Amino acid sequence: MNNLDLILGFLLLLIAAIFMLFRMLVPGKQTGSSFRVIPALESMRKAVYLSVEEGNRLHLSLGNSALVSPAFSSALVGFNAVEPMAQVSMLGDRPPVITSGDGGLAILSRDRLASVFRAGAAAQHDPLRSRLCGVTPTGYVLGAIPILRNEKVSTNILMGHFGAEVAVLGEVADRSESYMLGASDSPMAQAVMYATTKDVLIGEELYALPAYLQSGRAFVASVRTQDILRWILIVVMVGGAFARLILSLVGLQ
Amino acid sequence: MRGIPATFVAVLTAVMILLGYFVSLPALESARTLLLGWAVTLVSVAAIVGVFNLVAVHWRKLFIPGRERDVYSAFFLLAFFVTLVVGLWLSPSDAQYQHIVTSIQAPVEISLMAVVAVSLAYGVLRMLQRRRDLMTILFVLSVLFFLILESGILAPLAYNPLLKQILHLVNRIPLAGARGILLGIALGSLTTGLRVLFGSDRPYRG
Repeated sequence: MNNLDLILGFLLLLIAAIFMLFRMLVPGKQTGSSFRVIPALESMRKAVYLSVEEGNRLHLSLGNSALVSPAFSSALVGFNAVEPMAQVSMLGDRPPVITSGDGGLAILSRDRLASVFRAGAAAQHDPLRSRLCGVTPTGYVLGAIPILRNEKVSTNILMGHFGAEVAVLGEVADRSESYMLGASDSPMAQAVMYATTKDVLIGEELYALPAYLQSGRAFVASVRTQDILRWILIVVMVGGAFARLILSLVGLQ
Repeated sequence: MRGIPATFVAVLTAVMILLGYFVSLPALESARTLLLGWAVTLVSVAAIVGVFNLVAVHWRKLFIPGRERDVYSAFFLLAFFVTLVVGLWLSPSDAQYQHIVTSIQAPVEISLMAVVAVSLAYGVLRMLQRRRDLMTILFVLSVLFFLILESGILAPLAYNPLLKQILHLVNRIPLAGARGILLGIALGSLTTGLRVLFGSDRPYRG
């Protein structure tokens, strides 16, 4: 990275931080409920409540990103889904199962699940419901297949970093007639999930998920900041393309 | 209350690492290297804890009554302990040990990738049954189109300069789409990181 890249990166970070802090301190009228409707999330909500009602289990997969990798941000989003999902699951007979492909993710998911159950139904908590299924991407998928097949899972929510191998989980879920929502930071996994799962979140919809599931100011502020930054990028890219075109037309480039 | 010191440490560490990335001060850079080194060690310890968790889960699955009992867990435990003992005895860097492990692991992983190819082909066919909207039809058509394009059947068309330009343009469409998705993901990652930096998003509870 050269100095210009570093300066531009720092500027973008600074703009994002200022917007986000402003939105957190001055939230305005808009709340999480005023966002556009994402049909996949509506289906997911219905599937979660249905699985609790039918006495089935909920499976949340956090993928296989390491704690020190850039892809960890997608797993962080997955952590935000643990609490609301576990709280709904506590109403049913079977506690949820959380799987991951990294030791750090397994420890953090266990911690999250334990905190939810400590607050509500400590007796129901089973520490082995937060699991490491395998330490390689393929190992993870192979380890997760028996959970989908044998543990009365009727709703699968995949949120995190995956590769093309996630297609196998989609296929297993399809055969066991269980619901699956896929959300990943990897464009390849998004394409694969689009073909193999019932519902999928495309692009940055994954990062908007915490604002839809929880009503914290920070979550709403981060979605608004994403929107503002997106517009800034669009203006810069389109403006840059026009400027280049004009420069080439007048013969300056 | 237990979360406050953890949040303080996390935010302080994040700020130091971020400053070490942007500002080239020797003290900050060495602090950043030291903290990242600690993080890598912690991740390794977490991996060991995760493996214990994996063994505990399979041990229980072997003895649990009902549908959740899985006899394949016995194979897992046997393979795990044999690999562990032999690895400790010969050391993981031993060439023969590595050869045996990869000779088992590689075919299994390659077989799964073959299953992935079949699953994807089947998934695309099933898509039209599951969702019958414009986007699905477009997706399936573009999959078929790019399969034909990448197969090389249309290669003779590239001799015509106009068709060559058109094919070149068409080939850029998926790249443009992927770039758009990646930009959105980058912005999402940025705001997620900022939430952690502000201490409002904590993956740890304590």
